[in-house]
Amino acid sequence: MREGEEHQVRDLLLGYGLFAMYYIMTVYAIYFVIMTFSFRKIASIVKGTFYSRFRSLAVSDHVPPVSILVPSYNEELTIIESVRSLLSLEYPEYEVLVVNDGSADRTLDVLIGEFGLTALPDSELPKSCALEASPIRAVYHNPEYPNLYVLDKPNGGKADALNVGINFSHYPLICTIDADSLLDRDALIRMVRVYMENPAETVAVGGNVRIANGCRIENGTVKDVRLPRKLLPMLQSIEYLKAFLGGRIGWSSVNALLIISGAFGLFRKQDVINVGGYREGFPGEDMNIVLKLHKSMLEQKRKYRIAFCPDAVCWTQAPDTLRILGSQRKRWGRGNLKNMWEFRHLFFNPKYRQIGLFAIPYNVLFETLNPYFKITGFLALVGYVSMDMTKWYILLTFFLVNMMISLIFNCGAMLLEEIAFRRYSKARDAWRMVAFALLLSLGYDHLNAYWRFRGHIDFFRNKKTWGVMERKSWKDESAKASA
Amino acid sequence: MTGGNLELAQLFIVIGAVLVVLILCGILVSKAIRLRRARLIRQCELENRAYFDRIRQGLDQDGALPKPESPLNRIERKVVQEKLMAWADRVDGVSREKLTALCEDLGFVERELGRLQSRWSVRRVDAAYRLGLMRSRRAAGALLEELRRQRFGPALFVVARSLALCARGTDDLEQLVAQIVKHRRPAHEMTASILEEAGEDLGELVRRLMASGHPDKRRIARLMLDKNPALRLSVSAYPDRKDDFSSQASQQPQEAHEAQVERPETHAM
Repeated sequence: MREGEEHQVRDLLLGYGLFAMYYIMTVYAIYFVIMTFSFRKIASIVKGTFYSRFRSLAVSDHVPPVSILVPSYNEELTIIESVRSLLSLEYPEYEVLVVNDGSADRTLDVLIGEFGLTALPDSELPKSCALEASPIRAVYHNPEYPNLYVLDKPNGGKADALNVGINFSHYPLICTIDADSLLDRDALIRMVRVYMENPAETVAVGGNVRIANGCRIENGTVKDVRLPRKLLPMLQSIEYLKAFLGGRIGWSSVNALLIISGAFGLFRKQDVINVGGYREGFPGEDMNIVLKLHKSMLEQKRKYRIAFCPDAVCWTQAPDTLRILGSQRKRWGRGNLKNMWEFRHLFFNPKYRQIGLFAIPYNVLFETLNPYFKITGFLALVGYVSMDMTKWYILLTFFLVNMMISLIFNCGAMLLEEIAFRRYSKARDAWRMVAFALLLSLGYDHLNAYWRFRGHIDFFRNKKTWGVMERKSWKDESAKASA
Repeated sequence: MTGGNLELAQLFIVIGAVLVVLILCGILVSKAIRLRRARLIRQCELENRAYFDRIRQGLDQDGALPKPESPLNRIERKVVQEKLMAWADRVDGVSREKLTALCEDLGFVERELGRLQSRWSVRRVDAAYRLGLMRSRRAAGALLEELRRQRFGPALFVVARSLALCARGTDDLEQLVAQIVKHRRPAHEMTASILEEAGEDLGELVRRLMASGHPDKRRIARLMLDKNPALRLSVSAYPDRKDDFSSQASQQPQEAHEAQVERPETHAM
C-alpha cells in the first residue's frame, strides 16, 4: 500500500472510530436523561414503598383477585420450589395456573406427585376460549390446594402457554411469572397496589427482577439477600440493577416502557384479550405484548399507563456459563429485532406519541444498532493503531471513555438502590459492586454486543428455536450460597 | 484522534472519575450512617428493655402506661416511639388507646405534627404515616389539611390511610372520600380498603355516600356494602334510608351505566 493510500485508510478508520465514540456518548447522554427521570420519580417511589401499609392491604377484601400464569417447559428441577413460593404469597385471593407446555422431562409428574393432583372431569374444562391457543389435554387439581391448577397441553411455545392460561383463568387480572423464578411474599400485593391507585388507566405493571444466585433460599423464599459469588451472575446483578432501576423507572415515568419482563408482570386480562393475546413464533413475547397494548391504547386515544413497580421483586437464576448466557442474549437480540421490525410503522409516527417519537426510535437507533457501532468502532480504532503503534493512547482513550460511561451509569443505579431499596446492606457489597462494574466495561459489554449481533443473524436466518437453557435446583443454589 | 477530540475525551474521563468517586462516597457514607444508627438502636433497645417490659405489663393492667423514669435522649425517643407505634399497630381496643395516650404524653404526636408542616414532602409523608400508626385523633385535622395539599400519587393514599386511622368521626371520613374523588381518577377499591381501617362505625358514612348522588362516592359505598355483611346489616338499620338499600339491587344497572358513560375504562376490567 502506498503511503498516500495508507494515510487515507488511517484517516477513514480514525474518523469512523470517532463517529462510533460520539455515537456511544449520544446513546449515554439520552440514557442520562432517562436516569434523571428515574431520580425524579424516586421520591414518589419511596413514599409508596415505605409508607403503604401492605399488611393491611394484603388482607383487604377490596384487593382484586389475580390469576398467576406460570408457563413451564422442562422445569422439573425448579418448579416445586417456585409453586411453593407462589402458594405462600401474602395476597387475599389468587390462583396459580401452572401451564405444562408439553415438557419432555418430568415437570408434570413431579407436580402431580408433590401436590397430590388428580385430573378434573372434562365438564369442568372451559367450553369457550377468548384466545386462539392449543387445546388443554387435562387440568389437574387438588381441593387441598384450592388455588392451584396445573394445565397440561401439547408443546406450543411460551406465548401459546400463556394464552392457554388466560383462557382458563378466572380473575380479571393476570400475572405472568417464569417457572424458574421466586417471588417475595409481598411482591404481588406491592404490584397490585400500583394498579389499585389508578385502576381506570393502568393496563399493566412490570415488576423488578433481581438475581437470586448467592442468596439463601428456604421454602421458596429468599431469606438472606447476598451478591452472587460467581463472576457472570455477579456481572448480571449489576446489569439488572442498571436496567431496572436506572432505565425502567425512567421510561415508565414518561409512560414509554417498552418491555415488562416475562419473569414478572401484571396485566388487565381484558386488554390483553382485546389485542389478541400473546404472539407466537419468536422470542420477545414480553416486549411484543407491551407494544401491542401501547399501540392499541394510543389508536383508541385512551388515557392509559403502563407502570413499573421496583419494590415488587422477583428473584431469578442467572446463567453462570458463557454458553447459556450467550444463548439467552442471542434470544433477546433476536426478539428485540423481530419486535422492532413488526412495529416499524410506529417509528417516528406522531400518531403514537411518546412511543412512536421517542421510545421506538431510541430502541432502534441506540439499542438494536448499538452492537454494530460498538464493535466496528472498536475494531476501526484497533486497525488504526495497528497501522501506527505510536497512537496507542487513542485506543486507550476510547476504551476509557467507554468504561467511564458504563461506570457512571452503574454507580447511578447503585445510588438509586441505596436511596430507595437497600437490599444489599453491607459496605463490602458496595465495593464489590464497583469492582465488578469496572469489569462490565472490560469486555462483558462487548461480549453482549457480539451476542446481540449473533441474535440478529439468527433472526435473518429465521431461527425459531428457544436455544440452550439449563436449570438448577433452588436447593442446590441455596446450599452453594450457605457453604 | 485530533487534539480537540482527544482533549474533550480526556476532560470527560476526568469529570466522570470525579462523579464516580462522589457517588461512591455518598453510597458508603449512607451505608456507614445506617449501620451506625442500627447499632445505636440495638444498644438502646437493650438498655431500655426493663421499661419496655413495664409497658407490656401495663397493657394488661388498669391505668395509664408508665412514662420513662428519666428524660429520653434523641435516639431513645426514636426507639421508644418506634416500639410504641409497632405495638399500637398490632393491638386494638383499650390497649391501643393506652399506647396512643402514651405517645401523646411523651410528645411524639406533637413532634410529628410539627414535621407535618415541613417543606419537604417526603418528611410530611413520613410524619403522616407515623401519626397514622399512633392513631391520635388530635392529628386528624392536620392530616386532612395535608390530604388537601397532596397531588395524585402514592402519597395521597398514604396520607388518606393515616387519616382513616386517626379519624374523629364520619365527617373526617366523608372529607377523605371527597379529597380522593376530586382527582377524578377514582380508586374505588383502594378507597374502600382505606375506609375499612377506620375505627368508626361506617354505617353512617355509607349512608351519606349513597345519598350524595356522586357516582364515585356511591360506587365506593356499594363496594363496602358488597364486601361487608355486618355493614349491610348496620346500614339497613337506619330507618330513614332502609328503602334505598333494600332496592339497591334494582338501582345498580342504572348506576353502572352512568359510571360507564363517564369513564368507560373504569369497567374495562
